[in-house]
Amino acid sequence: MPRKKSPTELTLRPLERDWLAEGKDYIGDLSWSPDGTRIVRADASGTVSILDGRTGSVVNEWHAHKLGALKAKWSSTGKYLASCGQDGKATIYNGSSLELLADIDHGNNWVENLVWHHTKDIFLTGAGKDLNLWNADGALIKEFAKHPSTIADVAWNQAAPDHFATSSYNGPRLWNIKDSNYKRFFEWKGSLLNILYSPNGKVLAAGCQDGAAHIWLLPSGEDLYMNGYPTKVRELSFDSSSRYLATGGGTEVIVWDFAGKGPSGSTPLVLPGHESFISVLAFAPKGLKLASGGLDGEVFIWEIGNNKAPVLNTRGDSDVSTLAWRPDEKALAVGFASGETMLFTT
Amino acid sequence: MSITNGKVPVTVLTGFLGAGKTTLLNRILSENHGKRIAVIENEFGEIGIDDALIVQADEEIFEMNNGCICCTVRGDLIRILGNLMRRKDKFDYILVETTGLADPAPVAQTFFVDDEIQDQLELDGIVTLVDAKHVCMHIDTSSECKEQVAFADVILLNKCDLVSEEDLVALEVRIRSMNAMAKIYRTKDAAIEMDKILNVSGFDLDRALAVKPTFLQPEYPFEWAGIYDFNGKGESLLLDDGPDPSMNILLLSAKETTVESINALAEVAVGHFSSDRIKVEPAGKISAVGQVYQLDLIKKGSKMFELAPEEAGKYVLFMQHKPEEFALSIGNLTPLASVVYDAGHTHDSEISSVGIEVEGDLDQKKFNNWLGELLREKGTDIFRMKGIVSISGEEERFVFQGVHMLFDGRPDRAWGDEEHSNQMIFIGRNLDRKELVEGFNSCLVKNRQLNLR
Repeated sequence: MPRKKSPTELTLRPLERDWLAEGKDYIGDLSWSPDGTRIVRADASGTVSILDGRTGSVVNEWHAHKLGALKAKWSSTGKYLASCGQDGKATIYNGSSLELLADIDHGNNWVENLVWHHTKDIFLTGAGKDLNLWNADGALIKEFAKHPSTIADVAWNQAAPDHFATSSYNGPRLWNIKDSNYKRFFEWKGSLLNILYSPNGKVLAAGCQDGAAHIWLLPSGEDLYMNGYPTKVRELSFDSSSRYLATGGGTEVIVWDFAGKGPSGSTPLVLPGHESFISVLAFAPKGLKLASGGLDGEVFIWEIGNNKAPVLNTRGDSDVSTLAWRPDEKALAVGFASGETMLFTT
Repeated sequence: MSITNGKVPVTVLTGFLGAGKTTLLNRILSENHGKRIAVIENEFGEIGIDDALIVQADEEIFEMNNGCICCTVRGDLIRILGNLMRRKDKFDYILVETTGLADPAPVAQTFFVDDEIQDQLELDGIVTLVDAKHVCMHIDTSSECKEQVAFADVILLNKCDLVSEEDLVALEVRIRSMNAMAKIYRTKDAAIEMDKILNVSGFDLDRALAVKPTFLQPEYPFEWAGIYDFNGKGESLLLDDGPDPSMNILLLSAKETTVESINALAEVAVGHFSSDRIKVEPAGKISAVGQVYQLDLIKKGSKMFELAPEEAGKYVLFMQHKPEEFALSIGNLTPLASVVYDAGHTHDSEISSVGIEVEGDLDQKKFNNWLGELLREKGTDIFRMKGIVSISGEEERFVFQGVHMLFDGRPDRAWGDEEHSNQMIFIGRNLDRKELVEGFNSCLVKNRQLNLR
């Protein structure tokens, strides 16, 4: 992979911390309510908690999953909340009262994937090889064909309401909620760790176990393979304009530019700063602010396409495990392996 | 249970269905009651211990696009172990049970290939359970069975109570010929002391070669041993024409007349066989105990020797060949007990171990090139490899190990006053002992002779 280093030394500016909320265990997920007032948090002890977005105080907390809680997400309307975990359960709550509405049992499989639709109150779960679409009341809408190996990730296509993609060993699959079988399959010998659509639906991206990122251009299916990453690529994020794809897989953030004919044959933007491997990346909902968190506890906020802008930075005491931009993108919530959650004004 | 360098130890249990993996798993869990143990189970077994965390998962073998065998890993383990290790409430130990038909290589390689796993976990050892009664049905035909034996740090010959002593010895010899590195124990109902299977540091470079590889040479210099009762006068040892023009024999005093007592003397006999021999022609006399005689059998037809230990009593006769090959008889005596050590004839030509031990220093560049090329070309067939070598000009010992093409090595403690020497062992398929020894020899700085037995 050819590399282009940032030409200038980093001008760092410390991030301002609004609050710190203690926690019990490794934070697997943080999700803002659509109105930006509350955060739902899932941790490895199985606890799901609700934090006040302004103060960080824990307003509610309960042991939701035996073993660990893996994901907790607000639905896009804010009416519902769902969590899932290593106990094989996906649990749905009323988004305001937090009343338990349904408990979906997936047997021995961990429920590792739970994604709400971007407009409707329906969600997909990926548990082991099983893929299902559920209504917010817990009713099964569709049971899709079993995957040949464990589902690594599930993502909706925001540009096409009924379409979504899954990734697992041997390649991504494209689906339509109306059909129980997948519509397309891009075979690839390797293990895909995640899957992501560009917001305009024209690019499908996946990080690979063997230190590579793989992208497929849609609808053609033409693919590009970027290898040479120091470690497996678990971190991917597209900016809202679909021009930039940020990837982790090492100590440097690698940003691929899709403008013009790119990124084929182009050199990516390389952002050095982390001392240890990057663990999470997140572009702001709008604009070109990119947050990165690492196993060194460092958090950086970069402004892509603007070399002169100062890079915001802070450091926690443990691995950064999750990043969640407030919907107004003026604040970033950061979850750590220690269980702490912090809010920074950007 | 101890945690080394902050990493959580992992033991892999392999073995065919019915070999006793679940029984052993239950023993481990009950004998380590109160410890936080996670079990990744790939076959549905009945685990009767409540306080262990049992995760059931399908074995998912992931090959990477580059097609390299060393990049074949267990995807389910990466996912599950990576996730479990995030918890603050760390585990004391992790056990991974494989299915009966699993190749252990992807499991072992997972601990070398994935950064997240390597940072937090340490593969302690591979424990293979062998059903002593039924293994003979698989060991010749099943590549998985051979691989499970070849990869093991510890091999338990389970259900040994259902098999005769002779068959057990033959099985041990057979298994030793395939894997000269593993510790072999006989067990009944998978009963074994925990420190023999857990925290064995099979992949720990500090203990790369706790036993010298040449002591682990699989082949005995004798194929047969039997106990005879001598009454103090000489007996005629009669031999017909056989496959070889000579044969080495050895007499040792026996206390009992059991197969166990013969086996107890086998290592002593190995020592005698490596020392000087007395040649004896037909009609010659064999009387000294603890002395190897080389019978001259060049002459055609029946040959007689006088076998006359000076004192009456029971003696074990170790012979280079089996008696039936020469239609051998000793007066009217019949053996009171006997053991066949026929590794030379039945040992698995496919899977074997090659141990190398030589004094002197290695030329670093030559050694790197040789080992690099060997692993590139034969890495698929080299299952495991371990070594402690002396690099010319370096004060520290260099220790290394490998699984297929994956190599892990570093400088170890200083040699100090110790004589510089090199020890290596390879376990694999279709290994060419001569080629390996010569290749290694060519890397030596000084032209020293190999100290091979």
